[in-house]
Amino acid sequence: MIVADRKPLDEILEMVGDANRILVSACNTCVTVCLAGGRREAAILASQIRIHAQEAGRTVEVRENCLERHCDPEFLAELAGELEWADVMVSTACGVGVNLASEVYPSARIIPGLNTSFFGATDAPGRWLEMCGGCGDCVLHRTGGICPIVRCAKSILNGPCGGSQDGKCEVDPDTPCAWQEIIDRLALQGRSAELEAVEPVKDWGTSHSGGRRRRIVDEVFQAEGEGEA
Amino acid sequence: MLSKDTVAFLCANGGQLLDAAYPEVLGDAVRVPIPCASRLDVVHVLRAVEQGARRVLVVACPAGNCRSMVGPDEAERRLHRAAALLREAGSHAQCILARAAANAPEDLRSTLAASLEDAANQIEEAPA
Repeated sequence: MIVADRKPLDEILEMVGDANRILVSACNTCVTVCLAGGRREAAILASQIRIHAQEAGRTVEVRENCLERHCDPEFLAELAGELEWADVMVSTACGVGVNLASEVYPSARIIPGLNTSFFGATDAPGRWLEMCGGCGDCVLHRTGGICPIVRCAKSILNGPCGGSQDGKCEVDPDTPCAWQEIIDRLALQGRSAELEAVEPVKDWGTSHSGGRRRRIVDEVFQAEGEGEA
Repeated sequence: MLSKDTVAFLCANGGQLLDAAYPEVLGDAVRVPIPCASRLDVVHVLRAVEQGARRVLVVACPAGNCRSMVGPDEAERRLHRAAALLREAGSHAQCILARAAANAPEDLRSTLAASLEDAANQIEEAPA
């Protein structure tokens, strides 16, 4: 899932400025699961904005809603009426949702309530760990399902580096060395010999450095006939 | 004596029974029964303050006395979070957790007395 953190209230209030009608719009997908921007978190933020206004002697009207997803235009249609009303919308969706809502409603002022952080998984209740760098050229089949792009601080593809000590990363002694984990995992699977193979230089053109990425499923895209070429 | 600007969330297995037997302890506080203190949510506290409460009290069971085992601990964590969120929003509303069994009104009285004294001291210490 996409993992995010809520921005500090001061930062959100600064972006909201002197708006009097504020819509806080939550997303019922990833950010609900990571307890950053779901219905409950939107309720908390809306309540904080109201309380802050009361303490400052201001009158603001804050509405809350929660869309099933902010990353599909059809769900964003629900926002149309609310955005007619609102001076500003604080989105507690991830950055994808803020981007798309801003494209669908270009004249609306839509601001991010979250800092979108990473692709991660639930490690324990209340804790999420980054698991995938979304590099566009997956190597997990060679590394026992452990992503060296994000789980190794240096994104090394032929590790470990010299800083690996007692199975821990030199960057943080509480973080396991991803390459130690990869070696242990491949040993467990009886695949240690595969570590002798040298991973070639990675083509980062499939990652962020190759510009904006897109995925097209031809038969669907042609049938719809709309969208970016 | 508590006034109407206090909202008291009462565990149905403890605080609510205490209040039924000793209603004078909570005075004019607005009572909100909850099935267990662990059912308290941060949003409940924020909404109470939003609607005018200057003090939010949660009456949970003492440690080891909770029917759901961890109710008071869960309530304490959430009340701390709510207090932090209130401070972030600029509110000075007071959040109080009292651990008192249904037959122990003195425990609730003493927690309230200490909390009210703390609040009074904070007001005195606050710059004009």
